[in-house]
Amino acid sequence: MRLPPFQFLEPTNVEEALSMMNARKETLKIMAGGTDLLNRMRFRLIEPAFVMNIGKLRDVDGIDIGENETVIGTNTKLKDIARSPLINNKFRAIAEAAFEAASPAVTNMATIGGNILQDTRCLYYNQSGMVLNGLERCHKRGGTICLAVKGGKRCFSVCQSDMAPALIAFDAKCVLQKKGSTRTVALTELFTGNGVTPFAIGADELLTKIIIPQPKNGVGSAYRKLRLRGSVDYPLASAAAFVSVTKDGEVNACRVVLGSAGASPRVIDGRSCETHLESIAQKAYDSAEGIDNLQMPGAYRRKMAGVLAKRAIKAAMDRLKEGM
Amino acid sequence: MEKFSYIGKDMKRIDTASKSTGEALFAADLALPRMLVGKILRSPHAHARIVAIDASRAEKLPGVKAVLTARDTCGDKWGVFKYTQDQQFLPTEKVRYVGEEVAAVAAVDEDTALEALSLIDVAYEPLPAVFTIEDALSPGAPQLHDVYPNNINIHVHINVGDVEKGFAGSHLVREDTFAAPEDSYFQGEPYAVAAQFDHAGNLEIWMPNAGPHLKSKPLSNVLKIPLNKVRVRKITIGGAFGGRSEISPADVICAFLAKKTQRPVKIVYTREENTVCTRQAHSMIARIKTGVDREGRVVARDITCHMDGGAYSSTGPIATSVPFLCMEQAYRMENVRYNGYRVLTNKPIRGMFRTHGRAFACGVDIQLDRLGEALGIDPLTMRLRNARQTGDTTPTKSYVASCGLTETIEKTAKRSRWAEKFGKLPPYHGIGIGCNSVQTGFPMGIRGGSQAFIKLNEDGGVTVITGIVDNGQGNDHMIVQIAAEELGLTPDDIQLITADTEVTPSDPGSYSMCETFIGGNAVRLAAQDVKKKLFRIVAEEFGVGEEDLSAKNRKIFVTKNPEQSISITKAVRMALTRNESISGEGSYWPNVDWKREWVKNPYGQLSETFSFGTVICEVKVDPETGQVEVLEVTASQDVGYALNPKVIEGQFEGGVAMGGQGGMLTEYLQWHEGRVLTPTQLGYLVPLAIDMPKINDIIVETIDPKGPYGAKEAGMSVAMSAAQAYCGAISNAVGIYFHEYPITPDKILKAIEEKKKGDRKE
Repeated sequence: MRLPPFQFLEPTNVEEALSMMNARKETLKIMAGGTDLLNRMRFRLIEPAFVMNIGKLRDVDGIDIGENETVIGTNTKLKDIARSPLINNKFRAIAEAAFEAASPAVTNMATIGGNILQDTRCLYYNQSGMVLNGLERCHKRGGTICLAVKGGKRCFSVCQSDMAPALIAFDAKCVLQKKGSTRTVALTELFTGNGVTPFAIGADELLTKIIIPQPKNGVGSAYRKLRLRGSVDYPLASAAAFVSVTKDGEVNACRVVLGSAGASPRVIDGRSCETHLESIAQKAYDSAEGIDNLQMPGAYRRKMAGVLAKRAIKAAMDRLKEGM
Repeated sequence: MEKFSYIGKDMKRIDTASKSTGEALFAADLALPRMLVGKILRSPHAHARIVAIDASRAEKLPGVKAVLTARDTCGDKWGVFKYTQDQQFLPTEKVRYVGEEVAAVAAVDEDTALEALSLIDVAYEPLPAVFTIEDALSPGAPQLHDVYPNNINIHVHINVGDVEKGFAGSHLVREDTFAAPEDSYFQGEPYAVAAQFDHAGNLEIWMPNAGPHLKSKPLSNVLKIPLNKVRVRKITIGGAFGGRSEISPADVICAFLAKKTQRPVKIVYTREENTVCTRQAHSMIARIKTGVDREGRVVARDITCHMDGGAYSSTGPIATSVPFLCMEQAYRMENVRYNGYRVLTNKPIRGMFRTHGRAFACGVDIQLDRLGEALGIDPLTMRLRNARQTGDTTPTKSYVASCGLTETIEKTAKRSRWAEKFGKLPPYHGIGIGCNSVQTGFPMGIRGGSQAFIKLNEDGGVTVITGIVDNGQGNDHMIVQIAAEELGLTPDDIQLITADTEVTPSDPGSYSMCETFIGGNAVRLAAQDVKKKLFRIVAEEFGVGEEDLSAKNRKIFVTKNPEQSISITKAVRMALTRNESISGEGSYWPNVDWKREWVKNPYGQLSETFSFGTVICEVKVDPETGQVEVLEVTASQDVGYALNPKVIEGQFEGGVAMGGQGGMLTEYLQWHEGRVLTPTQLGYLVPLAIDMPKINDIIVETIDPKGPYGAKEAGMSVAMSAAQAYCGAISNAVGIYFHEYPITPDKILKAIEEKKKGDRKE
């Protein structure tokens, strides 16, 4: 289906982009790779007056690995992250998430910023008019009901970002800029947990950079994703694991971050049970929302959150031991 | 000298270059001068009375050239059979599924057309709807059509031998129920149709089709113009799989819009429309009761099958019969009863499908495995003991002229090392086998046969004119191969005019796997007719008998003395100067029982020949996630004779992808009150290249006595038996027999958990 009409804007630097956003606020939508936005526009789920392509902003593209932190520009393609030897070496879960996010055709276009800020998804929302016409409006479409959960008082749409769980596992921060000011927040703070408005970001704010602190001493990480096919698909459940040790080899951080488990990534502190995989699995299961609003029953997906959490931690521990 | 120059050889298909470069044009690619965009307004209700349609606001929108409602199509109804004419091209009284056509517009561009649709006001009175077979059959259920009481659309009853006596005399009897939901065809090419009228009232129309003549007749009926004014044109087609065989309301709507506007109109379906508003495959519940003797031979079988047909009849009588027919062909059974019911629900319309009836076919095979297990007989032996043989007659009285089923079972077992693996694999590894058989044509009434013409050029090149249609499987290449072989020409010398109702003669269409057998035979006969005429001229010139001549490498020569030869070009020129006709004609009318009828008389020769296939699949199951890794698939089929082995291998592998990998593991539709929630590529998970396992292809040749060069059909019985083999392999890996398909990871995990808890014992 064709896109609805819109005015196309294409700034060449961040300052220009921020001015455009400041002037147009909610009427403007940002397009990075376009792999999320354009599909929603085709479905007429959103019909923005302005679409601002940030693909020409060279100042926020690329990976900069420093001594204390690594900075990834918002425009960096998932393909470049997946292929980066340094990311693979230091932040394995992040490289895995980028590689597994979609098919090569998509990861060639999709960006890290776009992947983090992709809208939450639901079988009862991400549809064309052919499916939605005649259905009562749900919370996410401005209504008061949930079609996935009978009597649901809120929206249960799901954050299916692959990058967010992996980045959060590494305690990443992000830089948000708007005309005249800049703020840096933990990536977790970007997520509201509300399916209708899943991001705590102003209409005039641009996500420009992702900052990953350099972990001290030994680190192991892994990303595990469940989908029915070997490529293309969004995660039905996913888990990113991060384990770090002190100089003496004592575990000082152990985190699992679940994707596709609710409207925001779910962070589980695994330190108290780092050696007992089954309790990590149980924590993940308890934390995940299992709603029948994606492919496969919600109860199954919830169970898989536990399995993936366990597998991700195990892989991270194994890598830690191997010195990866 | 080799027997054949082209037949039986691996050849690059003639359409390879045009398809791989993008030169090939599909219906959606067509651009005609002054062409308008057509769009269809569809029902948002699963079941509703149409109270009023007001299109006046749409008609006034600048850029809108025509609005079409049921007033224009006069409420005319379509049905494949006289007794199933129940679908109006645009409904006058009721809509019966979400997505049904209600009105249409033609406008200068897509944006205008979409806006116009939003300006058509339809007042509906929603009616209670039914979405499952059980609900549709329950007392007091909402009725879809007055003419089908209790929502039973079709009932096929077959009764052969003495079933009760057979069960009484059986050593072991089992009764099981199997179920599978509807599946989607998911052709690569979404449906599209373009049409234009000239001032003489001739319609030209392009659309993907499984037989242009199957389209032209209903168009002629509804437009009330003679057949010679309906020109269904040839166009590249991106897959059919059984789903492009009938007239579509879009064809009629597009033609009416073109007539109303006197401009070309094109309607291109979205992916969602293709999934919902063309055809889907039937969902099915099959109850199968089988009795076997001590050696595992089937003594009696009683089957009751309910199929969800959706809102209208479509190919109902055929669809209700075929699952049974495939199985009665594949396995011997003497005492058998079949009751097939096609039930109407407020869901999209269901038609024939490449792997139609998987609940039935998988059920028969799983039940054979279970009976075998109880008797201590391995699945392979169970198949061999029940396999159909050459010279048999099926329960419904079809003579089987050639059958290589046993050979496919034995060769597949050997290649997949069945004996080393069955019962000896590590935990959560499994191996399974499936066998199936399909027809090469049915009694199809007046269009049951095919005719072909061949015209020669003065340089010896030819044009073959035939109604055969290529849906993507390679039929065009098949025609070229046969013509080149018979005439002693090269493929480059052959031009095709095919699948165009203005020019090409009658043909059944690429339907029921009959094009090679029926159309191919007609082409071969036409080529032989040309050859005979050329040989007569050359024989006279050389002073030899016509029977002493051969044709090869663009030459006609004396078989025993190839030095004595003449170029075909010269022979043609001689014929022209002597005023001798050298055009060729051929026609083939299959030897089937024309009195056989799906419902009234389901007995007699169904098809002139049948193909037989076996697939063995080996899998590994992840016991924590229930995900299946397919390690290896071996696919084998009795194809009669392989005209182009490479194409056949492609068909086998496509069959495994569709029937097994997709059909059994990942492809299914999710629903909400008659609405498909997974109509796109992100929802309906067709396997990707990366998902496909290693596939071994084994071609078995039985040289059918009547097929062209002995050929039958290529790949269908692999597509069907792949589903059965996957099902058997997963059941074998988990140690639980699966009765509900597809076998998704959640079902597998549930079975594993229940088995651990001891709730389920197998």
